[in-house]
Amino acid sequence: MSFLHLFRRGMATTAIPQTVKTGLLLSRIPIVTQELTTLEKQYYEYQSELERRLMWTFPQYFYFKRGTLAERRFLAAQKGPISKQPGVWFPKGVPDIKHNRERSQKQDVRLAKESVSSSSSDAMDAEDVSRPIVVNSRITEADRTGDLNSLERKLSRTLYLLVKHTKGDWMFPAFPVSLEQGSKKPLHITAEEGLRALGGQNINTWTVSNTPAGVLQNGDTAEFLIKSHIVAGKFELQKGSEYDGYAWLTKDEIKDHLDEAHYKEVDFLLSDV
Amino acid sequence: MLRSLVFKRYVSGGYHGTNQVTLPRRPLKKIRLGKARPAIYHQFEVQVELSDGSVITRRSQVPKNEIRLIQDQRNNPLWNPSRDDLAVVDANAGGRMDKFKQKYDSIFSLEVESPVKKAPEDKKIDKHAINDTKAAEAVEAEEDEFGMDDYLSLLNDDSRQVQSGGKMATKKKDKK
Amino acid sequence: MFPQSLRAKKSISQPMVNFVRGKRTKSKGSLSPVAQRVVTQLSVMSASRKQPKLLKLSREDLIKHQMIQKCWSMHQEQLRTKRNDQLRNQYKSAHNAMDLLKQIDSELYAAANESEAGKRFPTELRIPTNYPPKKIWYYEYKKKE
Repeated sequence: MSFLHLFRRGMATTAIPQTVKTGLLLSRIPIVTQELTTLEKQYYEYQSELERRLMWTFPQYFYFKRGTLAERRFLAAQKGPISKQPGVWFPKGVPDIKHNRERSQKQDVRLAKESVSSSSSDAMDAEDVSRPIVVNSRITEADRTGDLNSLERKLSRTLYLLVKHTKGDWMFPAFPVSLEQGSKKPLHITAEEGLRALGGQNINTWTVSNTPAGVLQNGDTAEFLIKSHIVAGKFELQKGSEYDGYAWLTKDEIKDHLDEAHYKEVDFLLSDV
Repeated sequence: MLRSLVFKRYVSGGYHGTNQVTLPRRPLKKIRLGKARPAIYHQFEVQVELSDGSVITRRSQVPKNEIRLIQDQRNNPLWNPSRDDLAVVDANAGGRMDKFKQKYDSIFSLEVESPVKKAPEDKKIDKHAINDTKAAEAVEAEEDEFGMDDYLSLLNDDSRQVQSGGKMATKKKDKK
Repeated sequence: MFPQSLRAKKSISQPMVNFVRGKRTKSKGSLSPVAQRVVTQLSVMSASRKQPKLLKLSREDLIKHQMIQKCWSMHQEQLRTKRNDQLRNQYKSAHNAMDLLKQIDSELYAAANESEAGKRFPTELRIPTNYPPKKIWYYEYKKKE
């Protein structure tokens, strides 16, 4: 291990790169939860069913005061358990009922739908606080149209900014660092300024650290990678740069866009989620 | 002798008001070794809609299917410094506090503003006109030190951690 | 005449059912309303009469359950090793980068090595939710200051 490390350092000392760049791993963090695998889905379902079987009886007398309309509505919605009868054979075992619950099964409590004001205009509905909850789709318009420039695609994955060089290959945005005495700036500041020069001022990012997360060495150039998150705003490619396209891609898609050797070097820097 | 002791104990005891409830004593149920079971309360799956329309699912003991939050981090300007499109929502709008504010807000706002405006004027008499702005700034700074802004600044993402106590103590001594 | 008299006799001879309220033997509802409320609240937290029966798994079911748990723990183990490997690689990579930076330029190295104590995660980055918000991304950001 240490030998290998020494060897690498020895290699580096023999050829110190002359040109230095800072690359930017600009990511958009996931907005919705991770897609579960089949195993995870089934396991969670199994566990929740076990838990529901072992849950105590719902103390209905605590939440609904006796003799109120709410209590009557709640009781009307319930499907009572099968009670014990003398001289009757029960295929699923003799009922054992306590507090209106069959003790050998999970309790299925049905909640009465709160009265929803029907036949009212949509504009009224949008303002109404007691409107029923309608969830938004996890698959967005950008997913359907395959718009790679949108930040609203693949909500459950981390997206990374990739730019396309005029020569035709995709890469992470990289900016040259000046090593002259007067105009020296820390790597992360160079990266942030470069991003704003490349993608417009109206972008809010948060740089994770001053420290580079990795280095891509290619002959005489060393590209130090700085990690950053986009918080708000958008990346719009400015005219007159050496790039002519950009895309927000997940890790899997980046694999297809970068060449294999290049991807191997950044593989572990990108999030699987 | 014994009587007085009992009396004393009663006096030194806590408040025996109307809230004190005595329940009929019942024999405790013995839980034999290995027979203890965890408490698993009945829980419902609840969909919680946050103020920006996103929905999370969680479990709760309250018999409800849906909960809607009107006011939370997602539409509070304090938590969203980069957003300008947020309308300030008050979940308690239309309540008693709001009605009270509508009625008397103008009076209170006048009272609050007046000392701030007066303070620089007082200094004007003492000092030269050139120092005016500086004095006003100093007053503002002094007020800020113990004002609400100080606590709010703690929420900023670029705020620094408070150093360990030593420095704060020396600062105070310098002022005095 | 005879049957009538007999009927009358019968009615007299039948035992009378007395619907008279007797003295209460059970002292039900003697608790004050305040105490009753406390009892209700305590009973919500107590297990008595609310606990379901214990699970009784057959031999086969038990083996199935153990299989599922084993599978899950193996899955978690795999995830953990994968994550740890990734973290180790990330650390190594940052270390290598810093080594190289030290050789190239000491000033840049010092700037990259500066302490960032007290740096905070922005409040605007959100925890993922189950379903997205109505407005997913705020594009209209304008540069401040």
